[in-house]
Amino acid sequence: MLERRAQRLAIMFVAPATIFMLAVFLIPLWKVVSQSFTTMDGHFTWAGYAELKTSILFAKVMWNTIEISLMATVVTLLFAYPLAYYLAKQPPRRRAYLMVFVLLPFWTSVLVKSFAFMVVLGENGFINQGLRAIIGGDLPIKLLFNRTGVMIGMTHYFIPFMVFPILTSLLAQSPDLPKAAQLMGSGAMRIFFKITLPLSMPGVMAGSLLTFILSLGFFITPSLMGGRKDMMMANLVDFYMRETLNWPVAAAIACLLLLLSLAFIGLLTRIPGGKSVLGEAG
Amino acid sequence: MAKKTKFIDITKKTAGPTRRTFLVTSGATIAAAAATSGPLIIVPGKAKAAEKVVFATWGGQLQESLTEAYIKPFTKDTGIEVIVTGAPDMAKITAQVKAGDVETDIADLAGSYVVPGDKNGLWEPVNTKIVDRSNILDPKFNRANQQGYYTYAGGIGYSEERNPGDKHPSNWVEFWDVKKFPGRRGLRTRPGETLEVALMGDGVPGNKVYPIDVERAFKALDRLKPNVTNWIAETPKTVTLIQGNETDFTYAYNGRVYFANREGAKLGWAGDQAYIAPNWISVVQKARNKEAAFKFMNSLLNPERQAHFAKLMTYSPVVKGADKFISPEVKRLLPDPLNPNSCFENVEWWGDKNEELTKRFKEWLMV
Repeated sequence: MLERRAQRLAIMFVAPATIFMLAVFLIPLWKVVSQSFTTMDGHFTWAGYAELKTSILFAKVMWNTIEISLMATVVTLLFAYPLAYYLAKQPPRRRAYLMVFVLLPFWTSVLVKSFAFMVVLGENGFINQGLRAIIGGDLPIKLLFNRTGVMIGMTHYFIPFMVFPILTSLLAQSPDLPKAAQLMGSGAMRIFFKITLPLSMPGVMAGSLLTFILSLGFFITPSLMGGRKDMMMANLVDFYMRETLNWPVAAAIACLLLLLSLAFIGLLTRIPGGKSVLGEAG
Repeated sequence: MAKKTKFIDITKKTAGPTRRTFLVTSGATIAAAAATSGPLIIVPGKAKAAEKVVFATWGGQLQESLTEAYIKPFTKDTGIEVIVTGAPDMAKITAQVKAGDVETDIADLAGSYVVPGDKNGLWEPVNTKIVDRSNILDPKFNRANQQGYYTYAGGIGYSEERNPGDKHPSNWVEFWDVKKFPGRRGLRTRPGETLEVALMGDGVPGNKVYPIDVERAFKALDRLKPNVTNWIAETPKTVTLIQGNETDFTYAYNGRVYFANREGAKLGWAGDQAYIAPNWISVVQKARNKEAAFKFMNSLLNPERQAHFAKLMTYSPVVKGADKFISPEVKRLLPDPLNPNSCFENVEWWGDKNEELTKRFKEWLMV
């Protein structure tokens, strides 16, 4: 009796979100899938996928997208983990105050930021001017309009997405564990690698996945801050969608991108701690 | 009631069509409901009086100038309200036409939208009973489904501080001459405009660019590639890169350079040999306010308003008689759209080659 009531309650809580997701996610998703098999005048076609099979551009851009996304995820993780670790060690009040700074990148639009970066990172930006003043010479370091620029821009955007899940899993750890390990004679390094890091893996996985999936669909930052080789999948979708009105190809790319993301999620679940992606305890 | 221009945030759905659809689809129900519930009563005449046109155009300075030069006087003359929505998006318009529920009545088109849109039945043939084309400067500005109503020009932008006097290339052959004019170049990331400019850089006269010799254009681009430090996707960067000292000589538009200078930049623009393109406008098929839209299109060819717009934007007029309203100072800033040295956009040649050539161009960029 009680169980059935709990069940009914659960349905009541879950239903609104489910209906919402059906309407705004699953139905449009189905439309995208069916568009990838439909010509502009409504007939069945394989042409979208056939086109991609032979397209060198598609192959290059696909590889580019994976490469940039993986790099962005790793670089973001390297910056975000120490940051989260430091935040976790702070007293709550100070932490709350510091967290505002982590959120700063969210407060300006990508477009505005990208132009602001030019002032800092450009050939005559602060950094290069500073280097010239210190080291002398006239060799600007190219920090913008190449892969470095893309990485700086994307990392800057993704850090909050990585910091918060990691911070949550670090804060969830019992403070008694490292103390116990210390009593047993463990050094700081050993405590970190044997206890803190493994226990924070769910956060690392969640953050990495979030970052990776978001980067797969990114294109403004690579387009504004990258060089001629840094084209991403989303640019290609946009091109087929709006410039040439070849919607079957645009939809086919979107579907393949989705499959790619699913494949990566699948891979993640196979590495240690990766199960947490699916909501299971690491 | 609606005698003023209304701006609508691009992110919001326009209020007008929604109400209209509402009235059309559920008129009967409402009439019944209105009998019982007071506040819902809608006078039929009120909806009819609000004649209007929904116009999709690019925002910013351009939109402000269009409003000043064209929209305000048009609404004053005719009482037709012009509702400006966000950037014309061919995907969105296609979706609207396919669904038979067209929100946009009239749209500014990029050159690449013209022929693919014609083929997909997006653009309505120009109603020449309403649009008077007798005044036009050149038949090139008239197409069956489009009207060109101003022209812009792509030339060579540079910094007058870093490259004063004649220390800058003044035509495309010189732009390609990296020995005589060393410096970082900027070009667009798309084949349209870039292939044309490359041929001129290789010595082809502007009026002989079409039909484009694609192989020759790519060979010319191969030569310049090591000196092109920036390939530009976003139009604002055509000037900001020069201002930020990231490039020295960049493919840039006269209007953009003019506005940057008005805000204090010191940029030069060499346009004796330019890429000239009309801005095309089309009424959308199945548009709700076709007649009003064509009336608006006709008003865009009014010489006095053309002159006013030219003064605001430095984009050149396309009708005879606009000249006499333009002061000599403004005239100096306007590129001659019929300059034989320049290359005049040929959307017909591009036709459906855009897809193939864009693929090739982007592949070429990536190696």
